[in-house]
Amino acid sequence: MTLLPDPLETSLLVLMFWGMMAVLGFFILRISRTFLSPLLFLLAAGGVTLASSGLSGLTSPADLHRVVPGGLPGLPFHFRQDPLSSFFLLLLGGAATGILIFSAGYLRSLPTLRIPSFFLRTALFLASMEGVLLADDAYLFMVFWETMALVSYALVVTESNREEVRNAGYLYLLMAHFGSLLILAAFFFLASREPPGLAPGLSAFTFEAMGKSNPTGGVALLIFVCALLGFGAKAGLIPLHVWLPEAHPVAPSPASALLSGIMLKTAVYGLLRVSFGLLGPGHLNYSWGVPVLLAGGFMALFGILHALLQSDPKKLLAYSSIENIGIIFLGIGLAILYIRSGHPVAGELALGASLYHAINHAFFKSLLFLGAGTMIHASGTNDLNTMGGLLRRMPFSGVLVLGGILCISGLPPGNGFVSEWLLLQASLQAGTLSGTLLRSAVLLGAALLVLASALAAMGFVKFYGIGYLGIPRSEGAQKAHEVSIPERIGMAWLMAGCLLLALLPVQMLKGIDIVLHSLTGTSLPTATLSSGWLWLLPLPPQGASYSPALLLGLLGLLLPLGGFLPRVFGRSSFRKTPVWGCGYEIRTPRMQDSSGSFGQPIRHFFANFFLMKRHLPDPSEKDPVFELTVEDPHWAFLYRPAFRLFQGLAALAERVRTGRISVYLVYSFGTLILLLTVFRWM
Amino acid sequence: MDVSPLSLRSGFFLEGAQLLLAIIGAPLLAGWIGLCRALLSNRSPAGILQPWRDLLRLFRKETLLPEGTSFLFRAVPYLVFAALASSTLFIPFLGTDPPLAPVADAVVLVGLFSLARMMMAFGAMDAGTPFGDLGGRREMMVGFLAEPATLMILFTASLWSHSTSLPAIIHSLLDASDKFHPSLLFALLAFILVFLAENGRLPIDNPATHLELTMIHEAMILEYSGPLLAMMEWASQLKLILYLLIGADFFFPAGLPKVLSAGALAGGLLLLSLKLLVAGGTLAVIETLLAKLRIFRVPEFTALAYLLATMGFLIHFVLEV
Repeated sequence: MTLLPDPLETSLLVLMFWGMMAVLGFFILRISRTFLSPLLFLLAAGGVTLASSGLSGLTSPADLHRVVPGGLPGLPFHFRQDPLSSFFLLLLGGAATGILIFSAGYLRSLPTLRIPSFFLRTALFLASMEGVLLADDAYLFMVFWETMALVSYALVVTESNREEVRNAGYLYLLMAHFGSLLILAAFFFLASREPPGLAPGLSAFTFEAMGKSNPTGGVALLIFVCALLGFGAKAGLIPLHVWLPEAHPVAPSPASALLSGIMLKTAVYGLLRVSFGLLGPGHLNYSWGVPVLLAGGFMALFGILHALLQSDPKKLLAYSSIENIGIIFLGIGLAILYIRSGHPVAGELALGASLYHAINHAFFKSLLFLGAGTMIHASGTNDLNTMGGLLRRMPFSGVLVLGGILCISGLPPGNGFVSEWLLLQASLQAGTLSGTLLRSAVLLGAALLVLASALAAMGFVKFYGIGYLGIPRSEGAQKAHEVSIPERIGMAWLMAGCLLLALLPVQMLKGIDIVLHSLTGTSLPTATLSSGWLWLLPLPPQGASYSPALLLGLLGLLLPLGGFLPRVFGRSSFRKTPVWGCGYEIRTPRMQDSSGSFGQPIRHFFANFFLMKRHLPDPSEKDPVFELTVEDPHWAFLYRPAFRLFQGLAALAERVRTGRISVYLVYSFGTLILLLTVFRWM
Repeated sequence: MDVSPLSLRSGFFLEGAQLLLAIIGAPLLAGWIGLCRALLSNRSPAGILQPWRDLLRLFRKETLLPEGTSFLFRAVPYLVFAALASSTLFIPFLGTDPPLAPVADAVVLVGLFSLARMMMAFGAMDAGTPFGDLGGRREMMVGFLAEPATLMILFTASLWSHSTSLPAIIHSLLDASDKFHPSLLFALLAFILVFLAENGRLPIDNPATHLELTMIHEAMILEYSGPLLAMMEWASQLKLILYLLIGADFFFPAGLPKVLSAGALAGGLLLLSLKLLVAGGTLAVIETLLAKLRIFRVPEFTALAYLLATMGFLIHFVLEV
């Protein structure tokens, strides 16, 4: 017995701390805004504590339970921190810390923001996300899940005086509740079978009891589908994704980072918890992996294609989140397929790659959303077409964003590459599968992954090339200056996380292996984990290897070689000159690519993925304007018809309401008679 | 992880020789291709040393920096060069097992090429000129189309070894070199198409043109001058030779020395030079015979490459397992 609290106790303390700070901070900030930075640093300290608690939960395979009085009669609050929770706590604590430190500098620059309520929402949001990860019964889980949905709604509608913000918030709330209903249904089906040896009643709703329920094939499929769609609605599963690119960008940047970087991962956690934790891998069928895998691959492609056409940097990032969640889903589908068809090693690798990508995405996407915040703040608008030349004016944050760009584009030696590489290695084991259909599905998934990743590089060249490079396209961008110290520290924290994940993949995989072992009972090959920190060897002995640290070292060695050559061969003096303008002297920023023109080839090649309305002006028109609108086809083909259907139904129902009291009396009389008849025969 | 049976000293020697040979040989290969092209189109050739003369001339010049560029503009040529030069250490071409090969497998190599491409696009866009943006955009466009095809080719070649590690692929191909692999034939065809697209050769891009509307690579490096331009040119020559070396490894691996003796090395090097000369000559013939494609036909070209590679992949499962 040590005096130090165990990881679960630490996490619960952080949960209480964040909850208390939310209320305390709210009242303190209403008195004076000067305490904002210290309060945010305190929250960040909670984040660091949480990350360390998660890390200690990953170094030793601890499975800690605690029952706290409260809740429903017969169902007190159950908390549990197993390796899966620990992993996501590490993700939450690590990424939140950087975002909170950044906020300390960023929020000061927003004079119109209502600081006290924003602080309250942020702290409550963090606490509720942590609660979701720690809950061990369905009731507590749903309480935290719904709190998270409501508080994140409040964060989305922070600037509720704008109509688009209110619309986005409403859409988000709608989809969040649709998802919640499905999740509730999944829990209901899990708890509906009386587990043997347990008293009947509400105790069937603890996760422990649910884990022992033994659903038949059909029920298991129903549970899996409910969980996939329910959590998918939160994660941006196509076609339930339409709220995501609307809601994430309209929140203030730190909130967008929390939403996209962290909250999406709670949905991944939920899916893994229900499918691998509560249902158990034994109840999954290998064929379910195929639709999940293909849906993931399609999401990745669809998300990045739409990202390429956005001119709002935050909307671009939101669509890219759909891509990344798609990659994570692809890995989960691959894992189900491999594990249940008797190839545990490849399956563990796919699931591990998925988890790896989840934590990678938390770090680089948060970093990029914060970067987008600084870009928008610098240029004064959320349009890439007003930016440009920011790297010269904001070199420190510009370099950090560049690092984030290289990581998210899946380029070596970044961290995004590690997870995508692992996923490809797992996909290449398709030859061991039996059946051409299965093999083709896996290879199609790999092809989609590769295509999406190459497109991501183009998308982020657009993001960075138009935002940070070139010459300024507006006066705001011209006058941009470097961000404050806390903002830089926050972004550097996230970049450091990316670097650690990039250079120490084996250390991370050791932690992930504990998660995998607790979920599926099997492990990654021991040679993978014992090969030392330098070498990543996913499929020993003959499989491929990769060493990010050595690669970075070699690149570092060869860089000065290139810089040395001009000094050997000749001169290395510099002179500033105007750019070459084909003989014309005039040079305006508008000669550069706009964000629309950069995405034009994509629109051309992948026309089927977009719904385009083009207006080419007629020569006879007095005021010729070229207009082009690009829309997500899901709106026109799914959502608007669905809305119209509901509106029609509502209009039909409205006919009942005539406003004449005699008709209403007939309704009551009829209902009474009906009820009496029903009860007579029951 | 064992770093191959070679001793440390001979390992260092092999890697150093690979790096030096590749970066010195790259401009020579470019000169050879130029020589063949000139002969084929009835011009008098400038000689195989011409690219080297150009490079040295550029190195002696002053650098003109366009106004409004950031430090990234100056860093890009070195970053591109480093990314490509490091690849020379991972591709086995003097012996089958360079000691640093385990650092990067085939997928990492494609990633490094992609890194170089992205950096080049950044350098182009930093100047803030219409040409730079045009070049950067088109380069990324060709890239996203060719990269998946490249990976499919690598995957096809890795089917025998069940590993994307380059030495493993080469060993498995050398051991089975007496067999005919139909899947590799498809992969080879795809590889030729991808090679043309990735290296900015005809019919995708014309390395000799400065015509505004058609150029890709030249548009990207339009604002570079002096030593910076030299680095960029050198890097693209390096990329060309690297692609040919990968191609030689996968499709014509015969003669690659497995042991490291002076005689085997010399023989291997001679054979390799011969392979490169033939490949360069073939490239010159292809370029002389073809005209440039419209830019929007490029996807059809790369889609063909992708399709061929995928067919090779599937044929392996149908015919060869």
